[in-house]
Amino acid sequence: MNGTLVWLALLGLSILVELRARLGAGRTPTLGRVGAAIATSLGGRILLLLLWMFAGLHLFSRYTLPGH
Amino acid sequence: MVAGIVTVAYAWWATGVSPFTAASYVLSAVPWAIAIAAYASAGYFTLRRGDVVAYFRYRALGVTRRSTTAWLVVAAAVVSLESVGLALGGRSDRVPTLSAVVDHLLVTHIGRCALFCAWVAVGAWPLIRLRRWRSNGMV
Repeated sequence: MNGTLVWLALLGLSILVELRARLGAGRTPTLGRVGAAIATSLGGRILLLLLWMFAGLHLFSRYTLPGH
Repeated sequence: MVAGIVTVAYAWWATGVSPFTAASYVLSAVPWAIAIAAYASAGYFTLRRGDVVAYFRYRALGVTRRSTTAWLVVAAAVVSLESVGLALGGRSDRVPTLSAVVDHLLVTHIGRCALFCAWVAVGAWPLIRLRRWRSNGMV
């Protein structure tokens, strides 16, 4: 199994779900509205901000170039 | 417009620094500090600012656990694949972790700069929408 292809398939699936939500097909909310639902509580808002901070640190301060 | 130019210029500078250095940590932490200050001033961390909760409740109208099934499936798949990747050491060719896959987008400086701008935009977007909502008098 090539895991990279599975990651790409998951990205494609996410885009499809988001498009379906934006087109109003079914009851699936957009990812932004799911985030808003999480952010209705203080703990949820803090969690989302921590996730965002972790993503930035991990991506831009702790990345490793392939082959290095 | 000015904020966009400043963001791109800062992103170019921040992503030109070698990873795992003190400078890279500081340059990634500056947007953190700005975001925390901006969210705090918007009342994001307080329980008293009822309009913040009202805004997110308004945005989340109609969102139920059942309606988010598709997203929960995607999230479960992401967590499962990431767990397998980590269990295999994180650098497996067969099941790489998400960060190992994203590393391919970080090879070029312009790719890192674009991702940095996207990251800043994701962090700023809820605040921009909240301010727009308030300015429309939806409080």
